[in-house]
This record gives sequence, structure tokens and C-alpha cells, in this order.
Amino acid sequence: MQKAVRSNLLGISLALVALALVCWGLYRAAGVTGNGGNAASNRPFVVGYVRTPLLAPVFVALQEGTISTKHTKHFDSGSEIGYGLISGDLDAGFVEAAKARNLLSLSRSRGVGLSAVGSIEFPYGATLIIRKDLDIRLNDLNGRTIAAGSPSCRMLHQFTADAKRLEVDLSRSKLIYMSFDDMLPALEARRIDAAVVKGAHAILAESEDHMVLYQNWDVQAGDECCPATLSQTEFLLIVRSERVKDAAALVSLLEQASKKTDPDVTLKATAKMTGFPEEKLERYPIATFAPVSAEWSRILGI
Amino acid sequence: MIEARRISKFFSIVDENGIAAGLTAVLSVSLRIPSGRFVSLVGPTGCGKSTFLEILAGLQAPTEGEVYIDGKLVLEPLPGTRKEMEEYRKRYRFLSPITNSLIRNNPKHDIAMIFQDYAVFPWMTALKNVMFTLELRGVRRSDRKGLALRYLADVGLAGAESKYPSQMSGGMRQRLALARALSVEPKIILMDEPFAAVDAMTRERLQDDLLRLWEETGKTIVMVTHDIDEALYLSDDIVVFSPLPGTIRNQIAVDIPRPRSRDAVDMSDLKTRIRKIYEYDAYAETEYSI
Amino acid sequence: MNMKRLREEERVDTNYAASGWNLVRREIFSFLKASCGSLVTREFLSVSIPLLALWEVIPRTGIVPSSLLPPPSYVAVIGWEMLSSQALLGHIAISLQRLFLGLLLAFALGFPMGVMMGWNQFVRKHALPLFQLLAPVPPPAWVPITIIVLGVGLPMQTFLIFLGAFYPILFNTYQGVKDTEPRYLASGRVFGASEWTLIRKVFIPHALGPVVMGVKIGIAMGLVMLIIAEMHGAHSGVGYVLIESKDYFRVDRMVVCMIVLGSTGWLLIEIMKYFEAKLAIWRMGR
Repeated sequence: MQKAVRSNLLGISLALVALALVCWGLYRAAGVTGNGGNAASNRPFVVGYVRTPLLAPVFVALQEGTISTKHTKHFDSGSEIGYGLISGDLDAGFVEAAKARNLLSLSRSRGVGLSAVGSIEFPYGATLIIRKDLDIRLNDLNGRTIAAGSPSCRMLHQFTADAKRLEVDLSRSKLIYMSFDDMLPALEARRIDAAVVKGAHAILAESEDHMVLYQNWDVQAGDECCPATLSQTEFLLIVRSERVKDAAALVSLLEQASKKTDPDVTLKATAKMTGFPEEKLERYPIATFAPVSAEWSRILGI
Repeated sequence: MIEARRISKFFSIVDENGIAAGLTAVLSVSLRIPSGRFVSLVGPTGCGKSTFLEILAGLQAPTEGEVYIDGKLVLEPLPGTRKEMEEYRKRYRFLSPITNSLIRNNPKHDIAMIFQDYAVFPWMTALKNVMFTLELRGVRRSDRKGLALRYLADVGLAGAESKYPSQMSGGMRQRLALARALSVEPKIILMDEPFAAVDAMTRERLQDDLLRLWEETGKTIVMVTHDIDEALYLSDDIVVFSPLPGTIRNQIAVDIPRPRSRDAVDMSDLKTRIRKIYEYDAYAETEYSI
Repeated sequence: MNMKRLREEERVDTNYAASGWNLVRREIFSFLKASCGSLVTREFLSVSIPLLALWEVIPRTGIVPSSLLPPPSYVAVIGWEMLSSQALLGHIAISLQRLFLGLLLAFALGFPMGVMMGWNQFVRKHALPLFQLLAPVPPPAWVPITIIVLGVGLPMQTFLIFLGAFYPILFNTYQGVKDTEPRYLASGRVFGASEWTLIRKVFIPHALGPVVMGVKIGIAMGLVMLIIAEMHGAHSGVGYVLIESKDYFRVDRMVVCMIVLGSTGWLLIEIMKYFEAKLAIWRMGR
């Protein structure tokens, strides 16, 4: 009897030890509460970016050689950059401002500290985009479905005022309201024919080959659907907290690139890196980079 | 009148050792059954009586021999070439897995068959089952339901039209099979151990109902059974088969006048006679040659 | 268990007495009873309520952060918001449309093909090996080539859903028809039934059990392929909302999508199970 009990105990304790080892191994491998190890600080600083004209300062810096390509990595979307930051593949990256707050709270819950050190600003403006296959002019808009942010949206007011001024009849067009992020997909899905959006969204639309029928850059943000400070910010430069010090150099480089460069140089650099045609780029203002504002720091809780 | 001349059925099989072997299920059976008679085929299990019955029904083709119904040749061995097969098909309106037609139903009014299990379709109600055979017979849609109800009443299933076979007892299912068989108004009804799966009490009632129907309609009935008492109670003639390969050992006329009682003395005499034939076959293992 | 069976049979009997609107109402009622009934039993409630409570409490007390595991109350609020003001219903409708289109196509092609292969040796020998070779390719592996050939849009989504549902329906129908008891066929043939009559009245009814099972598996696979298809370049549908939520780092919206998808799958499977139960009356107890 004794022997049987002893061998049972031995078996059970061996199983428990094996189980503990497996759990510990999984825990290390998953790295849920942190990234892979100490080597991070010895690794070169890598910034993630997306190929959009809105990140013009980055392209200028790359062109001029102030940032080397081995410190940058391009991605298809800001969300991938966000997940790359959480997992530690990136030290810094440009993430869309609309996503930044959720990203930060998610990363906090994963035990990863992130903070914003800079922002990309772009003039607001009012633009009317139409679906790529619609070969129409402003006058043909009657009877079409147009999307806008909300009934009180300043861009919408500007557009309707300008339309009246240009004697464009919109009496029979249908207005539906949706959030800006839903507008491009709705355009692709053919649920709407046109949308009144801000300038940055127009760039996004044009990169999908949709067309711009109307632009007015005098519109400033500042109503319920589009609060002033935040609506002009397109991207935030998010950095992993432990590398904020290394990021300071990057911030000043980008500031320089943003302030000092000749518009023509910017245009050519952006066109080269994004593949966006120069003629289209000329119609748009240039994005600027600035260190992160106090307002943003408050909103993001850092 | 249904007549089988020198019917043989030969299967080529592969036995347990993987060696090709031949199996003769039925060996040169010749039998003539006059109209209106009730004939039982008895014999030990697996002696080829079911195969013989299926050949009579047209579900299998014999390797040798012919089947005649009322003097007309209805079945002979399958031909070798495809061309001959086409002519074969045209000549004989019989049913076999290879030759029943693709779209058109070919009702054969001469023969109906009842099996021991799987005689009725469990996914149709009793009424629908009978209406199925009526449809095959070509009855107009408007007449089908009334006719079906009549046949169901004839076999004693008057209140059970909407029941599914799974809701009916074994005895009721066989009644339903009988109703289906009767609904095509055949000249000959073939039955393959129809009452083997029901209990003794139900069996006796079913046998009595079968006798009554037979006497009312005057059809020819050929029944395969392993129960000698049943054969003695029901039939005019008993054909005794030998074990494999199945041949006819003897044909015994049952002269006892109807109505018969199950315990009569003359019945037990005949039974002993048949038993003796069985025992001889079991112990003597005689070779049968043609 | 025998008693329950008896009650079910009685209920089915009475159902055949009703007709028209009454029948529909009774069927829906008994369906709801069968499906939701298994969820609100005492036994399952003793499991589900503690689990829900645990799910609510753990994020609130901070053991797991709520942005990783949103508690049911948050999820309910977000879900309501998505339904009322963010057109989630529209997305669900579009996803369901795609699903049914693909399923219908898979059934319309798979069922007849399965019947033909089960019924006829010639068809089987020519066609079955082809399907047996193609079927093991996991449907998600078809996505890249489908995108190249069909682009991104309804044809691509329908095709992928069709691929997912086709093989289960095909093989189960084939198996069901092939396994038809030969005695039933004999008892039909002996009365002179043609092959076409046999297919309609013997092969197919006999095979309905396996067919329904094949459709169930097809629905499950179709749902999987629906999400995969919508995750690649769709602009609407629940899968798209799921991917968009990932892009916006919103776990709560993802959970809402998962709940929606799970409920849809559950409902469809329950409907199929209800059909299966109705078919059970055809099965003869041995």
C-alpha cells in the first residue's frame, strides 16, 4: 500500500512540475505583460509610417536624409502600427488621431506604456467627393444621395452656401448623416454617391481614385460635430514610454522638416514616396508637424 | 398461372480465403403454379428460396431457365452484348435494377411482392403508401384517396390512414404491405417470410385475414416461409426445398379441407413427413445432380 | 425519456390537425420552446448565471482591464448604440443576404449532384474522385486566388461562402442516397416504379436525415467563410465591422460582433435541428 501511494504522489508531483514549466514557458513566450526583453534598448529606433500625403514632413526628412530608412518602416494602416507598438516591433509610429485614445487605453491594459510626443496638423476645409465611376459635374448633383456628418455641420453649411452662390440646385438630392469614418466605405458600397468631408478625408478618397468636385479651404473646424483643436489633427506620433527620450531627437527633426522646407521640395518628396500624382497634390495644402499640444495630452491622459 | 422452367442462379463470389468460388443458389428448379392456388415454399434458412422468389418477381434475372406467366415468356437470362440488351429490354416488360425505365413508370399488373422487413416506406403515412402504388398503377388523382381508403379498410387498417409506419406495430405494417400489394390488383402475390417478424398472436390473426382475402379475391399466392405449421395451415401445396444449392425436394399437396384448425391430426402427419425430409437433408448431405 | 418521446409524438399528431395560420403559429411556438427551452433549464441557469456574474465582476474589479475584457453591461450599452444609431442592423442584413446567397447556391448545386452520384455508378465514378481531391483544400486557402479572379465584392463573397458550404452538403447527400436500403428500392421496383419516381419518392426521402446534417455543417462552414470573406476588403457586413473595430482598437465592439455572429449561427442551427426532429418520426425503431 505504501509503495503505491508513494508512486502516485511522485507521479502527481512530476505532472505538476511539468505543468508549471509549460505555463511559465507560455507566459514568457506570450509576453503579455511586456515585450521581448532587454535587447530593445540596444536595437535601433524604428518609426512606423503610412504612405499618405498627410505625413509630408516624414517624407521630406527621408528625402533630405535627416532620417535614414533603416529607422523607418512602412505599413498599410495606422492600426497595424498601433499593434506593432503594443507588441514591441516598433518604438514609435504615426497613428490616426481618431484611433489614438483607444490605442492608448488598450496598450495600458496590456501593460505597455505609450505616449504621444507629436502631432500632424492639416487644414480642415470643406470638400465634396464623389464616387469614382460617377462622371458628373456639380450641376448634376440633383437627385443624388449625399452624406454629411450632421445637420449642423459647418462644412455642410459652407457647401450649401457655396452651392447656392454657384446656382447649383440641390433641392432633390437626398442627405443622409453618418460618421466620417463610415463615409468612404459607404461610397465604395454604393450606398451614397457623394460626401461632404474635411480635407484630409478628401486626400484619402482621392488615393482610392474617387474625385473631388468642390473644395473650400477657408472653413475652420469648430462646431459640435467637429471640435476645433482635435479636428485638424490627423496623426499623432505615438512612442513607447521607455523610449520617449530617444524620440526627442526625432521630434525636433520632424519639426525642422515641417517648418523650413520649400513647398516645391515637399511636393516632390511626397509625390515620390506615396505615388500620389503631383497635379493632384498641388491642390492641397501641406501638412505640418508640431510637438504634441497640452489639449491632446489631457485627452489621452498622459 | 406462373411457371418456372429449369431456373438456376449462380453467383461468383470470393470466399474468406480470398479465393474465387462459385455459389449456386438455385439449381434447376422447375415449378408450375396454377391460378388461384396458395403455394408455400419451405426449406431451411438460406437455401435459395428467397432468391427463387425474387427471380419470379423479376427483381433478379436467372442464370439459366425461363419464367412464364399465363403461357407468355416474361423472363430469361440476361444477354451478353449491349445491343442484345436493348432488344431484351424492349421485349420484356419486367423489372430489374438494370432495366426498369428512367422516367416512365412501368406498372406490372401481374405480380406484387411483400417482404419481411422494409416492405413499406416509413416516410409516408399509411394512406400515402397505398396512394403511391395506386399512382404507379395509373389511377387518376381524384380517385386515389378513396380507393386507398378502401384497400386499407379491406386489410383492417380503417382508422390508421394518417399514421406513419413507425407509429404502427409490426402486424399493422404487414397489413399495410398487404394493402399496397392488393392495390395494384395483381394476379399473383409473392410473399417472402411476411409474418416472421411479428409475434405469434398477431401472426395467427394475420394468417386468418390473409386466407379471407385470398378466398375473396381468388389470386394466386406464393409464400416463402420457414414455419411449417404456417405452410400447412395456409397452403394448397407445399414445395420443399433442399439446402444449398436449392432444388425442389418434394411437392406435397395439402388435401385437408378448409376451414382448417391448427391442431388437427392430419396436419401433424404431414408435418412429420416434411420434418423427415428436412432431417434427411441435414444429415445425409446428398449431392444433387440434374 | 420514453415519456418525453410519447409527448412529442402526441404533439406532432395534433399538429397535423391544424392548418394555415394556426399551423404556422403552433410551429413557431414549439420551435421557440425547443430552442430557447434548452437554454433556460434550471441546470444550465446554474452555470450561465454565475459565469455572467463572473464576467461582469472581473473587469470591474480590475483583475483584467476592461479595455481587454469589457463586462456584459458595457457590451450591452455599446451593442444597443451600434444597433440604434450605427446601422448595425443594416450590416447584419447585408451579411445575412450574402450568407443565404452562398448557402442557396451550395444547396442548389450540391444537393442534385449528391443525389446523382449516390444514385448512379456512372456519375459517381466520373465525378466523386474530382470532389474528393478538391475538398481537402481548406476553404480559407481559396481566398487569395478568389480575390485575384473575382476581385472584392459580392461575387467573391458568394463564391467563398459557396465553397465552404458545398462540400458538406455534397458528401452528406451522396452518403445518404448511397446508403438507401435496397429493400425499399426493391419494394418500389416490384410495382414498376421508374428510376425517376424512385429518386423522388424513395432515395431522397430516405436520405433527408443526412442531408439535413450536411446542411447544418454547411451553415457552420458558410458562416466561417462569410466572416473571412468580409474581412478582406468588404465595406459592409458584420465581418467588416469586426475588422473596423480591430482597426480602432475597440474590443467592446468586437465582442458585440462576436455575439451577433454567435447568435446568428445558433439560430440557424436550431432551425435545422427542429427540422431534424420533425424528420425523426420517419425513422422506424428497430
